[in-house]
Amino acid sequence: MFDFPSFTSMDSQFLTYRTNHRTYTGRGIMRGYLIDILCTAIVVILLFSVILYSKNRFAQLVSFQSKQKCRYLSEEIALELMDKILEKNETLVTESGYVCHWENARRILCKYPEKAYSNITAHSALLAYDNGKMKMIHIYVVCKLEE
Amino acid sequence: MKNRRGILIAIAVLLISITAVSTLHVYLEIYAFYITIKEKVLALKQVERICRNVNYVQLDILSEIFVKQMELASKKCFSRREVEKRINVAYNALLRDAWSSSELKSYFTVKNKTVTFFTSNITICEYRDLKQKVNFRLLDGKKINSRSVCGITNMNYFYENQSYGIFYGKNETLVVCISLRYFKLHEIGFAIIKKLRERTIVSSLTPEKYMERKVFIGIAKYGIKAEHNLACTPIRKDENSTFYKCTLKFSLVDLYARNSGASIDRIRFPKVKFYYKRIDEE
Repeated sequence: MFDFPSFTSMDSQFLTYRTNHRTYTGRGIMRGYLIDILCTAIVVILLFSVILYSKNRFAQLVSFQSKQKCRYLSEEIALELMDKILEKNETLVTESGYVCHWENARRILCKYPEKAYSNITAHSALLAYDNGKMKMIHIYVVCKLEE
Repeated sequence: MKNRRGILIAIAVLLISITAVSTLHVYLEIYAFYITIKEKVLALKQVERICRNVNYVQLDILSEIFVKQMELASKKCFSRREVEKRINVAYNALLRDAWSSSELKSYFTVKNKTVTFFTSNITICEYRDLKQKVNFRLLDGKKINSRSVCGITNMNYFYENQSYGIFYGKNETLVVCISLRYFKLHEIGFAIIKKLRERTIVSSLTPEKYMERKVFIGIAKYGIKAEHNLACTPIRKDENSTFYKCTLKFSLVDLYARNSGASIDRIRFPKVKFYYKRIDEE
């Protein structure tokens, strides 16, 4: 069987070791505190800068993702409009609830009704062949504010 | 003892901060990766949309040319080779005009790379020659018959963005058809012309009756009706016979196409001249 040393004996050995190798004075203790404070300060500053950087990056990513979502939506709407050609003075309610109408001869605008709009607008385009000529139709989608 | 505990606490705090910062960093990296992948998917969706859109436009161009040229072919009674040649010439000329606009270059550009597409010439054939899986667009008439005439072209799309790490390739077959059984009618019509042209027909029937009973009699079983105009002028009269010089103008109407509501339902054949000797019955 193993003979484990008791906690008391370990503690006493440790204390002896410490006291045999170092002697602490008041000035030494102060220096130790200063080093501790300095280290802590460095760690805190680093941590804060990392958090600030992460916050900025996170904000950037979130804003990019919002724009991306809007572009996805605009792609979906463009596909819907491709399958159903919009007549002049006609409006189309898309599956996502956006209302599209002709703004002018070459431009379709899609908005979500009765909602606050974000300042994100996505653009996509469609080609149409009309009377022997190719026409490009621009589709602008003003995305709603996310809840 | 106190200092050792302080060091341990400092190390623990450091470890916790490193773990927290690493977790944050990993989370942000995963988030950024997710957004990058979604961006690639979006680029592919855009490419897919462009290809579908080009398909639609190309089908419109093909339809326009096909109907126009088939209408002309049925009036002028062109041969299969001539029909194919004319459709291809008109189609390529229209394609050149349609796709030459500089505005379209921006439309085909996705993430600084251009979607390219190639079209092959149109092949004209009967519907029965097509593979079943091919989707077609019926342009004229409500129904398609195995002998309906169709125009086929292949489309090949290509997009490769190495800096973005995405690739897209697609082959499409566009088919447009009209209900008119052009080649069948053409074959029957020219068999009739061959039978009459510059020949002398001897019969006891009147030329008109001869046409009805001997020339156009067999076509009804193919669902074809003839509309003709025969003009015969007597040139000589013998003891018991009369010689005529005749000119026949005729069209063959495809009853199938007509019943399908097709606007092109006939072929008008070139007029044919022949001689007719009518033997007087005693």
